[in-house]
Amino acid sequence: MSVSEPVLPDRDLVLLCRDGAENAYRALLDRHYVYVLKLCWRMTGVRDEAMDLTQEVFTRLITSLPRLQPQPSLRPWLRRVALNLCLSALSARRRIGQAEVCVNGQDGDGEFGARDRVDQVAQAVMARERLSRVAAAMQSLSPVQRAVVILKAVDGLSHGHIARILDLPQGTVKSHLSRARTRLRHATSGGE
Amino acid sequence: MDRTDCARVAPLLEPYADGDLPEVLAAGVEAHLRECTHCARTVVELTAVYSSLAGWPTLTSADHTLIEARQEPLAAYYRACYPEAGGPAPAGAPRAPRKSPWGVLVDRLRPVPRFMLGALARGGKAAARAGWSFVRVQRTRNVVPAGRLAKPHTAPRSRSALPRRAWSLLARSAAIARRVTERGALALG
Repeated sequence: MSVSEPVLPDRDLVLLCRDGAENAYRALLDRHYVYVLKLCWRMTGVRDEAMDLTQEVFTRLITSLPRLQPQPSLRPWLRRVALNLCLSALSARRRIGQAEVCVNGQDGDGEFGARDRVDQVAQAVMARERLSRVAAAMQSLSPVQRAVVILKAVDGLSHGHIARILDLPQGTVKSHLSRARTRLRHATSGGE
Repeated sequence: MDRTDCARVAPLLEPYADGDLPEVLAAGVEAHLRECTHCARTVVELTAVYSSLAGWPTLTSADHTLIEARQEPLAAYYRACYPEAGGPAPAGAPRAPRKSPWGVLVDRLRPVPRFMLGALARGGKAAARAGWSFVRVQRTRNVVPAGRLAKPHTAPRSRSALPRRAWSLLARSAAIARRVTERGALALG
């Protein structure tokens, strides 16, 4: 999309999508795909699973278009659907007994290994280490704690808003956040 | 630094790092942080947690390529659900106008040769001029405004009211159609 083109709000894009405008759907993908992917990635800790969940979210968007209330931003709807899917996936994973943890945020492809070798700058390595510690610490949190932390840290939502999204009391959200944050703080400060 | 001060400020550090504290309390915490390195370090760590989380995961160019590849099946699924602006008839969407009986008739007559259609059309126009209709019309009573002389209701036109010219044109087109069909049947053996 060029800069000169008018930027339509999500509400208009959803209405256009209902009329069968593929470009509008592609515009929604451009706008929100990475956000949903990162949200799923933070929740699951695995890139491929996050990709699959993101596909599911946007497939549901297509099937829900006729019922969807056009809002100024589609992000709250996408966030809610993505979180629900992630929580279901995590509970299913727990049931099955899978406990994979993707510490460095990638899935161990050779390409990324090569990339690490190239990365010689000490600061970048330290930042990467910190990120990997955060990623590992995120996996040690419960799914709900993870969701609370992501909504607070990344989306900057208020406690009340998070409580409404996750259907939890506000006090529970605060306690989840406090516990999760303490654990993450220990992880990022090098586990001292 | 007095330990009791730290214990008093400790519960406020987290909301302070989030920027959730009212100004008065925030000013108090800031005053304490200027003097206490331990609490200041805690605040830095608390802020670092969120900033680290916001920076993770970082997408590489390979990820972006994968994202583009993943978006194509979604677009294909969208096209399958919404072929040529149609799709699964979303609620509230305007429907395509229904075809009139005349439109249906024209569609049926499309395979008929053009010269026959011309004859039919001329016959039809003549019939329409005479007020004869191919479609049965439910007649309603004339609503006459008060104080005006009502024109007597015209009697429903019968088949015999069709002018001779229209009848001859229709008959001619029917004869041509019959001949064409017979010839076709002969040619096919």
